[in-house]
Amino acid sequence: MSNKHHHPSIHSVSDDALDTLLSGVDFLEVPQQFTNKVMQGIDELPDRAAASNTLNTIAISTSSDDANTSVNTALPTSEWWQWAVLIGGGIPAFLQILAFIFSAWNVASLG
Amino acid sequence: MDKQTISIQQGDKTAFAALVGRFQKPLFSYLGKMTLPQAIAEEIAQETFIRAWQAKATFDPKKASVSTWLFTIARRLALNELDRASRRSEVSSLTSAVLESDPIVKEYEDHQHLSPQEALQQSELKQALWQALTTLPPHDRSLLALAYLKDLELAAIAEIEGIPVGTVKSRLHRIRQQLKSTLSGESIHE
Repeated sequence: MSNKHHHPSIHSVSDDALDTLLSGVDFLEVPQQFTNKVMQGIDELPDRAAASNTLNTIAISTSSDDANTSVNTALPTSEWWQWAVLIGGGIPAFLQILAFIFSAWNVASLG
Repeated sequence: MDKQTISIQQGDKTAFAALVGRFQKPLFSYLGKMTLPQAIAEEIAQETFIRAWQAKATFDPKKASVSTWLFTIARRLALNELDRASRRSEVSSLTSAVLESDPIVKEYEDHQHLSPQEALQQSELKQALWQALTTLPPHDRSLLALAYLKDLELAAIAEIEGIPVGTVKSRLHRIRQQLKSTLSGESIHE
């Protein structure tokens, strides 16, 4: 602001002048082909959208059969043999613990 | 619900391109008054439209207008960017990036009908205003920028900013006073 002419215009800035200045000024320009760039970005979205949809399907509770299929394929589910192993191994282990407790109680009661 | 909104919600990209064309200028005007550099503003504007497209199914025109919806997204992105920049102490670099860019040159182009002296005066006024805007906190900048967009009512601004209309008015009054004071201060110091 080296020019003296400018000082009064800024110094005595009125409400109207400020309004005019703020309404009329644009610091940026819309780049050329901006709409095309946006639409190009949107065209490149489907992969991202598909990935996010899969994640959403897993994350949210589902009601449709299709969605249930997605959940079943996406998340590892327990097979029958896993249950057989769990029960087959779990019951003897539980009996072992009971036997140990009974033995300990028996020894304690003798002493 | 207008036809364009229905078409967009049904995935009509041509209708969405028309929406982009309609709102790109006010969006850049807003981001410019937020004192963001051209490149960052461009990224934010693009991201705004992409996010709007991704969330088109959730947009409820009964609750908000399209402009409110778009500016709410843009505001959040712009404030995040300014916040990130300030945390990285990049405010000065952002500032210099814009100052070194083309506002003055652009001003000459915009005011080709003016005499060189008038054009220079306009340019200097514009630069003074830009510098004054940078002294405002980002939230105040956003409110002021929204207030000077055409066709955006106070109720819409209140909704975008998430504050009551009364608060918009009082904050605007305070911000304008601060801006005037900063502009006056500049002329005194120079």
